[in-house]
Amino acid sequence: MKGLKADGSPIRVMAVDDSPITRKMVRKALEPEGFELVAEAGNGKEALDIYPNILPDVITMDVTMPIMDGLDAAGNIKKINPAQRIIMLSAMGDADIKADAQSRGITDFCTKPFKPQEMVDKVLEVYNR
Amino acid sequence: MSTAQIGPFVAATVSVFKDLLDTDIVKGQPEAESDSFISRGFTVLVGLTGGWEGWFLLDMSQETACSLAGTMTGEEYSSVEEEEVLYAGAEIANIISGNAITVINDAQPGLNIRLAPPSIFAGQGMSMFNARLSSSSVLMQSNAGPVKINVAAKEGK
Amino acid sequence: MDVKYVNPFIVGLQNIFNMLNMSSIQRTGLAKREKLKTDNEVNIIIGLVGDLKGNVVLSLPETTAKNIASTMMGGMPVPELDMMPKSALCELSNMVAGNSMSQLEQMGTKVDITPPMLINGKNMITMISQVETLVISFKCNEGNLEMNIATE
Repeated sequence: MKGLKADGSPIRVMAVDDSPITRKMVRKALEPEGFELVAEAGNGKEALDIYPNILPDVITMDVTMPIMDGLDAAGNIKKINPAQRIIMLSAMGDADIKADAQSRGITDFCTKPFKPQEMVDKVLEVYNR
Repeated sequence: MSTAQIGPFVAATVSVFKDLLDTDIVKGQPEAESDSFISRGFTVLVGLTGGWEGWFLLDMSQETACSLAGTMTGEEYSSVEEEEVLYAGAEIANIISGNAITVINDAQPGLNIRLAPPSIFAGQGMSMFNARLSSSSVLMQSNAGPVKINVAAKEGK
Repeated sequence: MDVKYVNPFIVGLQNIFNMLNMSSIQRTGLAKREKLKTDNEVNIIIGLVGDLKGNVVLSLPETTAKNIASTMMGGMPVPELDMMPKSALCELSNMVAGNSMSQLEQMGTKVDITPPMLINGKNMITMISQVETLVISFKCNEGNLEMNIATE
C-alpha cells in the first residue's frame, strides 16, 4: 500500500478543514492506502494548538477557515517547524493566494474537488521530497 | 446582469459533479427567473458581495441531497436531518461557487466578488424570493436527480 | 462569535423597528441555537463579508410576518404573503442589517452585506453558516421574532 513507509509504519496525516465532510473525504481517500489519519482540526487555531502533540508527517490544510485561516495557521506551524510538510486545500486557485503562501514558505496545493487518487499522489509527492 | 453571467457557475457545477461526485451532468439552457421560485426541498445559499451583490443557489430534492452526501462519504443517509447531508450540500456549493468566482474575478481584475459562508434550508413548499435582483437559472440532470443552479445578483461597488 | 459584536445587531434591529412605528419591540432572550428545526415559516437571510464573515437570518412565524408587513404598509391588510409584503420584509431586513453595520463600523469593524433573500416554507431544517448560531429573541405587538447570527 502506498501509504506505508519503508519500515512498514503508516505515513501520519493531520487533516484541517472547517467542513467535517471534507475531513471525512481526506480520510476516505487516504486510509484505504494505509495512511493514518492521526488528527483532525476544524480551524487554524485548533490545528496550531494540537500540532506540537501530534507532529504529523503531512498536514492537509484548508485555506478558508474561521478563527484562524489556513495560511496563518500554516505560517505559524512553519515557524515552529520549518520542515513541516503542508498541503493547502482550496476551492480558489487565484494567483494571490499562491503568492501569499509562498511568502510563508508554503509551496504545495491541492484544489477542491480532489479525486481520492489525486490526494494520495499529492501526499506521497510531498512526503517523499 | 444577463443570463450569460451564470456561465462560469454552470461550468463549475459540471466539473465539480464530475470530479467530486463522479457523475456526468446534462445541462439545460439558462433561463431568466422571476422574483421567486419553489425549491425542490433542499437549497444551499451562498451570498455574494463586492463586484456582484446577490446569491448563488444550489437547489435539489432531499433524496438527491442524501444521495450526493452518500457519494462523498461512502455512507448511506436517509434524511436531511442527518448533519453530514447538510455539510455535504454546503461543501458542494462552496466548491462550485469558489471555482466560479475565481474564473469571473480573474477575467475582470478589480471586480473582487467575495463569498459569504453557505447556509442550507430544507423543507416543504419553500419559496425563494428576492427583491429586484436579476435572476437566472439552469436546470441540470444528474445520476442522483435534477439539480438547479440559480444566480440572482446585481452589480455591486 | 465575540460578545462585543452582538449588541450592534440588537441596537440595529431596535432602531429600525422604532423608526417604522413598531416601538413595542423588546428583546426577550439570547441563547445558542440548539436544534436545526425551526417552526418559523418566514426566514430572511443576509450574508456578511469583511471583518465579520457569516450570515444573519431574521426568522418569524408567518402571522408575525404578515402583521409586520401590514404595519409597514400603513395598516393595509395582508391576507397572504405575496410580492408586496415580501418586498417590505426584505426591505426591513436590509435596513436592520444596514443599521447594525453602521454600529459595527463605529467600533472599527467593517462589514459588507449581501441583498436579502426571503425563504418561506414549512417544517424547515436550517443550517446557517457552518458555525455556532446565536439566537436573539424579540417580541412586539405584531408578534414574536428571532434574529439568528452565525458569524466566524
